[in-house]
Amino acid sequence: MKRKLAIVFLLIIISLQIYNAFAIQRFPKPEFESGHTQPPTITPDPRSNALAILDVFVLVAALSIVSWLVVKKRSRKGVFWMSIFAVLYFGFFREGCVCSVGSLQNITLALFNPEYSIPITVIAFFILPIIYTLFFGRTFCAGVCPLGTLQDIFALRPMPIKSWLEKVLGIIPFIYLGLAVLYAATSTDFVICRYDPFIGFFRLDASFMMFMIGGIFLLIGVFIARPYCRFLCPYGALLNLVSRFSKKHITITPAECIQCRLCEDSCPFGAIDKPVLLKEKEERPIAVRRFVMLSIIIPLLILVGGFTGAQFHENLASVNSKVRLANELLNNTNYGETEQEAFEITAFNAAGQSKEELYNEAASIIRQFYYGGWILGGFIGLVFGLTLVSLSVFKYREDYTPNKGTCLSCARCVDYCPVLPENKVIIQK
Amino acid sequence: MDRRQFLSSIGRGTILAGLTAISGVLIYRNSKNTDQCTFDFICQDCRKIKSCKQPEAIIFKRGKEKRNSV
Repeated sequence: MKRKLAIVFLLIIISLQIYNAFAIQRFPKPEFESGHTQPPTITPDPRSNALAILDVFVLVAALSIVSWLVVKKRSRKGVFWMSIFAVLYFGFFREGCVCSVGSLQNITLALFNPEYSIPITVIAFFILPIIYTLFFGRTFCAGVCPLGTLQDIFALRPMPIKSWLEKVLGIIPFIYLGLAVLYAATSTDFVICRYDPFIGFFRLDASFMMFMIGGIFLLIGVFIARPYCRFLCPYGALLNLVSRFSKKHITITPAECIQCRLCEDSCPFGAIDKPVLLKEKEERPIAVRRFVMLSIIIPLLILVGGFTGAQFHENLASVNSKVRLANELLNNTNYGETEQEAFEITAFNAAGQSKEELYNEAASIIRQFYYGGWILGGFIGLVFGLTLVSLSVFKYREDYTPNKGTCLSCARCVDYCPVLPENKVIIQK
Repeated sequence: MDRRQFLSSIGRGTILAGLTAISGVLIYRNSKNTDQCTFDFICQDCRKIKSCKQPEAIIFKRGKEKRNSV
């Protein structure tokens, strides 16, 4: 009942978007001939430093509580209520910014451009979830990330998807991560923020397109739990890697597994690894041959990926505003506008920079994209190679265990386990 | 401690060291940097743009005003 109430409440808040999504400026601003100037628009002050520090404290508190609820208390209900809090505080109250997902771009930009001053709160929002993941698994994804928790609340009828499809789609976040890093490193754009499907919901100012995209994600999320987290989130890809080294991690059973199989289909994210019988283990010569083959294939994939990425460097660079401006000036296309000079060209002419300087700058950016294309392509090749390895490596397992990488620590599986910490089994009627 | 746990703790230590190094470098750079912002594409999404006095922000705001008035 409480869960339904929470969902209804969130639906009401999200439905407020419709008003903004269809809003248009009804008439242009009047131009006064009497010399009257329009008063400046009154805008709220930027967030004070004290509040920014408070946000970091709330983040630490939320991470600690969720980690305790997941690892120690093993409470799904507790995680659910923390999710509601995260959506309300980090989502609607803080308007989803700074979020840890987007902060990886700020970190990249700061690393590649020493003159960029990154706020300490942004560093904290990037580092803290990774540290907690290193010790307790992806508890940030479970109940602190506003993007993930919003989708989690809407996962009402989750359906399992084929494991091969899960693996293939699981490559997308790594590609997105590579692209986001490339665009941030070259000071081109923050693509994660630009195409964040839920930020418009939180700020109550979604454009029609983003409102539709966010809505579609939530609708898909009813049947395929957390589609953005599993198949797109670049920070999730990072936490996926880090979580594999976590010191403590949620376990399905608090004591010895009794192989009752109740938890087998409990995970909406397909993150439970089933036991593998010893008799299924392949012979050693076959495994060695596979290892040798993969050792050759992975460097080859990195090379091919790098070469392919480098071939697309001009296409990738065309997103950069300076490269675009140089192209428009060079081809005299005026951004496709026919009636008047494009605003960007007017601004460039007013700035007093010469065309040669702009062309040199654009050429330097394109060169950065060439090297970046090699690295991005090589990275994607590596991800493909490692996915192949994970599909072909034999792992002997006796119990049902959460996959440390893909498990989002939501604690749903815990409710299915009849084993008590004292090794007693709950007997239901 | 078995082999897997040993490797895991080495990985954990490496990641922690990396995170510490990154934070250290960024905080050190921040303390040395003067207040500059040359990343005009950020202005578009910046929440402090209304009160920002950086030249890039002023140019950006003028441009936006001009565009709105057209």
